[in-house]
Amino acid sequence: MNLSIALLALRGAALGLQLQGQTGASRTLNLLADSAAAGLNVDAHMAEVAAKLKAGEPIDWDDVEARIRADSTDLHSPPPG
Amino acid sequence: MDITPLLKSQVIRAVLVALAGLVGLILRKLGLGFDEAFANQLVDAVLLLITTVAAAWAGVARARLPTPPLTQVAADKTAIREAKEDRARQGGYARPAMLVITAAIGAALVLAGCVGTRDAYKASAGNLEATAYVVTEHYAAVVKEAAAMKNSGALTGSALEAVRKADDAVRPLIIGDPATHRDGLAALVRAYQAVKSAKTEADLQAAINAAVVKLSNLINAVKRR
Repeated sequence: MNLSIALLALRGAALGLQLQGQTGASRTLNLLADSAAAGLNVDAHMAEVAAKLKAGEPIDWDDVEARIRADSTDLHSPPPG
Repeated sequence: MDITPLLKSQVIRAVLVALAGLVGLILRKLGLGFDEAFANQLVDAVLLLITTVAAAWAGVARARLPTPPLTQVAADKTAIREAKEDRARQGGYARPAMLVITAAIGAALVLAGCVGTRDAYKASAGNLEATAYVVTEHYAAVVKEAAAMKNSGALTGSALEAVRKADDAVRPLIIGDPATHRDGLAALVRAYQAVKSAKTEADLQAAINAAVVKLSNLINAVKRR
């Protein structure tokens, strides 16, 4: 199963439903696509982590902690606009 | 249902102007208008321009502006249609067919989508430092996606608050909290590396376990929004 195509199909279906005025169903599909896309991004990141560990690369704790601090601050800041 | 007075409707105004232009053209054809050639050409051009602009404006008004009903019959029909649309909207995603499709797609995506995460945890198995690192990277990836979803508007309101609360619960376990003198996973790994005793090993293992539980709460909060 090609997940990128599945996501594209979900977005397309959501757009189609939106154009037909089925806003509830369209929103549901969009939320599903957002969640799936976020899950895929996390999984891609974890695949890189797995590759690093298998390659025996040194662990950079400062880097990962800095990223966490920045993204957590972003999460707690007011939404844009 | 409010009814717009006939002459206040943008569409009707545009139609009247268009009709005026057409009436002018018809009068000229019947020989009741202008006789001179220049005047005829000028009038033709003006009338055609008026007709074109009016038709275009009617289209724009219909497409971009509200179109309230002009008669009681139209008002009644509009009210009936709106009631039908409200009922359809209330059905929303609770329609059985929609739920089945959504569940099937969701299951397919979840089943196919966690290979990298499983791989990372498998690669760290049996190594406490590597496991602590994988948990930390997993949290980093989830909080990054949560922030991106907040910025894109996909995460709002009470769902956003739930995710923030879950993040507040897991962050001190992962990177520590100076205010409460709590050590994060990195500090515990360093302590374990410096003194590989039963105590530091137990401390690190307990911290990893606690962080994994809170991290799963954060992941669930992001999924449930």
